[in-house]
Amino acid sequence: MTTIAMGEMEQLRKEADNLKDQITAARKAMQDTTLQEAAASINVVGRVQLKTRKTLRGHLAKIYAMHWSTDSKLCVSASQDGKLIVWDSITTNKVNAIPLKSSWVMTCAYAPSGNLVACGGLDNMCSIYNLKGKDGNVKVMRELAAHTGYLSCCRFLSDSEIITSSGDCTCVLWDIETGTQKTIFAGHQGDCMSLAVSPDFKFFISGACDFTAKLWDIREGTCRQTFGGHESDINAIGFFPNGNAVITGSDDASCKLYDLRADQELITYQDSSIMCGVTSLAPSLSGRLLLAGYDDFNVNIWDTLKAERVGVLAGHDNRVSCIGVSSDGMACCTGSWDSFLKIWN
Amino acid sequence: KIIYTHAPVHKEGRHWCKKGHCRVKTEYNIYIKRLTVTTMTSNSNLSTMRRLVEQLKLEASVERIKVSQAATELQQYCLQNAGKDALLVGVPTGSNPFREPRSCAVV
Repeated sequence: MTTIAMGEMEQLRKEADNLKDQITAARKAMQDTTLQEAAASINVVGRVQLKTRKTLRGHLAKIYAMHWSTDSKLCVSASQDGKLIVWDSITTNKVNAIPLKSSWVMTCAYAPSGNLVACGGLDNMCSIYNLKGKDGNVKVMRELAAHTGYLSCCRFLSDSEIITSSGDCTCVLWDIETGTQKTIFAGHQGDCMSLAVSPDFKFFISGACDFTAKLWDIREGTCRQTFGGHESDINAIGFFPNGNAVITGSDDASCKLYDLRADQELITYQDSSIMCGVTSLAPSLSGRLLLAGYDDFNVNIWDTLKAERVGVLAGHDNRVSCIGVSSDGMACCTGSWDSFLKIWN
Repeated sequence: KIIYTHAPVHKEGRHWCKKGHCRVKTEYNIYIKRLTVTTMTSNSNLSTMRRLVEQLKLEASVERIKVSQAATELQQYCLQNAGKDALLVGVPTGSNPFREPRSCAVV
C-alpha cells in the first residue's frame, strides 16, 4: 500500500470513528426516559396459559421452519425429511405434501396471495412452488440461484417478488418471473440468519451473525439504520405489529426491542435463569406479548412493555425451531426438532 | 471477535454446520472460524472503508424522535389492540376455530 493510500486509510478510519461517536451521542440525546419508566404505571399482564389445540403430525424428521398463510387457516412447514407440507391447521389435514430436491431445507414462506410457497437451505437456492397449477400438481416454478451461501430465510412481497437472506452475508430482492436479482443488500459482516418485512412492505429488517440488525429500504436498496447491542448471533427477527419497532432474538439468550424512529434499543427481554439461545420469535397481534422459542425446548411468553415473563409453552420434546402467530392473532404455531407442529391458543 | 461463517472450502467429509442443523456431506458449508482482524494491504480495502464512511454518514443523518414519544406510541398501540388479541385476552370456546364445540350432534 502506498504512503498516500495509508494516509487516506487513517483519515477514513478517524472519520468512521467520529461518525460512530456522533450516532451514539445523537441516540443518547433522545433518551429522555426509558420504556420501563414510561410503562411504570401499567400493570403486568396476567399469567398467559395457552393450550395445545392441535398437533400436526406427518413430518418424519426435524422441522426447521413454518409460515402461516394470510388466511390464518393454512400454514406451510419445512422439514429435514425433504418435504414441504401445507396444512389446514383447523382440520389438521395435509393439503399438499411437496417433495423437495434438497432435504437440507432451512426456511419456508407462504405468499400473501396463497398461490405460492418457497423454501431453501443448504442448496443456496430459493425454490418457488406454484400451489395452484392447472393440473392440480404442485411443481417448482422457479429456482432462484445466485447466493454463495445457504438460504437462511425468505419472505414474499407478492407473487412476483421475494426477499432472501443468506449465509453469504447478503439479502437479495428477486424478480420471480425472470429469476433474476433485482437488488443485493450488502453490509452485514456475518451470515444473515433471518429477515422480516414491514407491514407496509416498504422496508425489511435482517438479523445476522455480526450481532447486528439492519433496516433496509426495499426500493432504494439502502441500509437506513443498524442496531447493535447483542453479544452474539441474532437468529430471529420480527416487526412489532405497528411497523415502528423491531424485535430480535439472539444466541446471547436475550431478545431486544429496538424502536425505528428513536433509532435505539428500548428494552431487553432476559432472565438469569435462561442461558440458552433464542431460535425464533413472534409478537402477538397487539404487540403486547412476545412469544420466543429457545434451545431448551420451551417457548417463553414475555410482556413486551414490562419485560417480564408471563407464560411458558411447554410441550415439545426437542428444540423449538420456529414459531408464528396467525394474521388474525387467533393462534400461535410452534414447530420443533421433535417433528411436530402444535397450534396453541 | 470471532465470526462463524460458511464458506466454500474444498474439503471432503462430514461436518456439523454452524447452527447444528444437520450434517452435510458436500464440500461446502463447513463450519470454520474466521478472525475478523485482517491486515489492510490492498486498495480494495480502501474502497470498503470509503463505503463504510458513506454508510455511517447516512445512518448518522436519520431523524430521531424522543424515547418518551416512541414508548408512548408503543403502549398506545398495545392498549388499543388488546381487545382483538386472542392470545392475550383469550377466546370464548364457541368462537374458537381450533376447538370443537362442546355440544354433541344428534346422529
